[in-house]
Amino acid sequence: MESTSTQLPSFLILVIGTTGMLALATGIVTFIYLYQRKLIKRKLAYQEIENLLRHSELKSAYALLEGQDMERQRIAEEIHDNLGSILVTLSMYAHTLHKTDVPEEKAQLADKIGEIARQAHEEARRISHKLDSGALRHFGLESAIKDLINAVNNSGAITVEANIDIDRELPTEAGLNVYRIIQELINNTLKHAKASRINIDISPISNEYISFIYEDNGTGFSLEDGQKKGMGLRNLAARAEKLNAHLTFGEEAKSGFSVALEIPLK
Amino acid sequence: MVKKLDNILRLCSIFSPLVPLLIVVLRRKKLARYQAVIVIFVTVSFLTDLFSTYIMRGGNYYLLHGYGLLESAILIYFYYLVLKESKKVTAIVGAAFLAFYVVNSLTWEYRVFNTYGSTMECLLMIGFAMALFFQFYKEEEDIFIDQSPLFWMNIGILVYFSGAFFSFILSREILSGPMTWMLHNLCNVLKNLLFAIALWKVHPRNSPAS
Repeated sequence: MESTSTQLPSFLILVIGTTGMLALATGIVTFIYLYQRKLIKRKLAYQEIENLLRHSELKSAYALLEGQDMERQRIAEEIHDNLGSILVTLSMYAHTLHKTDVPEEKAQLADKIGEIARQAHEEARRISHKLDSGALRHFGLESAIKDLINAVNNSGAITVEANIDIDRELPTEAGLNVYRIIQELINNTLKHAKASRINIDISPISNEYISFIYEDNGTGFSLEDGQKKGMGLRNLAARAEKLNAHLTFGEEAKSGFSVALEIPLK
Repeated sequence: MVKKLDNILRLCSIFSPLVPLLIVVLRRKKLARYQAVIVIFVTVSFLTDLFSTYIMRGGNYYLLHGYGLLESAILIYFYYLVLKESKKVTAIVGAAFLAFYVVNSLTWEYRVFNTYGSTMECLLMIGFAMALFFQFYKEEEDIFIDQSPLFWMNIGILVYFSGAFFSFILSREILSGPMTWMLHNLCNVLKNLLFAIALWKVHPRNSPAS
């Protein structure tokens, strides 16, 4: 009788214990499986966004080419209409100078030729300055960034809030570096941060700098981890260096990831 | 009725290794080293069960202790192969456990059922299985994890040792009382079926780590 009563709790312990352990094992396996499923969904969404980004980049490149064509056409017109007509006048005076024998007239014509030559020189300088100005070079950067942000927002995977105010002229290479930095940062956020929101702020500070701030509300990371995982931080630093920009990462203790760039305009 | 169910489960447990072994023979896929280790484990388990049931009729404690040692060594080697980051720890813990097992079998549990040895083995294997799951979780390498043979092998080991844990703790009660090894046998069948799934998933492209 006593033996049966001691065996019953043992039997119960055996059944309950085994069931509990099996339930625990099932729980662990289910967790890992569901986690991996979530991972698949995330990777597929990421792939879709990457396609969108590529598409948007292509669109921006077309916009840039179109802009460059328009600008070239405008400059060609200016050379033809202004500099061209001045040179024709100059040639006309030179021809007249060659024909006249009166010394006074010759002196007058020589003065006029000198004046027109100065005008031609001024005009050439003006056009040359226009060619060198950023108006041509930075054409499309703001719209390219906006296209990129729209593409990411349209994917529905993440919300990007942006304040873009580029009223200064940026050389083509600098503009391209800014664009690539944004692309790299968005890629990193989508790949690693598990974030739901990104904030981008690009605005001028006096006449000397453009301030660039990028933040996400993801898991954040330590610089050490970032370097180990090669999360494109090296690329980011290299691009910042090309821009002569000062790069600052947000505090590691704070949630999310943030980076700030001060891009000099000169 | 319980006796009949017990017998059925015992037979299923003894012959369940045939399912994964048949899959290996029929599919003729080239196995990675860690997969071959599992096939060796299944074969050793099958032969030991056959030997103790039909030749030695009930077996003896030398065979039981010897099998336990071999089983542990094979599975420790398996985890040594597949755990990437903590190979040194795996080797040290595994060697320490094997030393304990031998000393235990020769002293405290000499010629009795190896309750301590088996229970410790369960804990060790559950620990290794969890470490491997943590590796899956951390690495995020296999996107379609249910296609990975290693995933199914690890589930097999985790299910078997988790389910058998209480049977081994209460092994002396089971041996002296009316309780049976039913739950242990059930877990063994599950383990072999999960190994069968794992070996079915073997693909020529599967690298040793996948």
